[in-house]
Amino acid sequence: MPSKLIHYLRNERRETGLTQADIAALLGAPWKSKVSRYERQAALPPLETALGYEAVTRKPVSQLFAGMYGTVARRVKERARNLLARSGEAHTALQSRRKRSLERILQ
Amino acid sequence: MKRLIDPRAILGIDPTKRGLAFVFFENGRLIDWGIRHTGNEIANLEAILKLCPADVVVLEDGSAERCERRPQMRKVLSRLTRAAKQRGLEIVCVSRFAVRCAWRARGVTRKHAVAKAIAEEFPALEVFVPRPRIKAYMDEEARVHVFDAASLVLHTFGVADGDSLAA
Repeated sequence: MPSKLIHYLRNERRETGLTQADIAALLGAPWKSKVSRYERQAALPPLETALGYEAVTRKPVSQLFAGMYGTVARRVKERARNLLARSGEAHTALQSRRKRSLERILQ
Repeated sequence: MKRLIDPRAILGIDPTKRGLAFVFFENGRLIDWGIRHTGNEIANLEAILKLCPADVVVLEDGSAERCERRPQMRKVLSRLTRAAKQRGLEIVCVSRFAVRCAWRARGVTRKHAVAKAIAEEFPALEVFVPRPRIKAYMDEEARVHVFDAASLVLHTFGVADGDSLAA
């Protein structure tokens, strides 16, 4: 089943037994309100914070943000399909490598 | 750790005088739980559904036989059911008495024992297990209702790894 939640930050934090204040301290945020905003989906964490979450929970960002990753991956596949449809026959080695890369995205 | 057999996004709700207690399962995993106590029950439900986009909502059946809810709470239950239906969600109404009977069959009769049994199946809830009620005049802790909501869901959908409550 595809993930329906944008992210699992709250769930992962609770599984680790850490408090919001702990996470804020680990991520270098001054207040736990920042963590609360991320967990309530009132704000999206920047890349540095997302990677910080990965370091804390030991889970990849794509897994922590599973719902969002699913949406992004689906859009990328659509674009790859369009690109592939637009591109013609591969004549050179570079063109065939490009085609293979696009096909790999669609798999 | 155990999992729900049904992989859909399932939200269990238990209305209380202190707000709405909820548990949320997705892909059989316990994802979120807590008590929402701002505004009226519909606003609370909307807020919970915003964070926990469920396919199925499990509620107590206020019109079931041997339902011990007060009339006011039965109205809240029917309002919640209506609000969830309007959002196009699947509603499952469960008799609290049937849930209690299922627990009794397992030799678990008190709410604290039920909470402990659920926490054994889902260890993330261990820190949430309420203290036992020692005196009859002592008020129930609000978090007891989270386990009430969880037991409604577990009774309806059952957990994997054998000794589930019910399938």
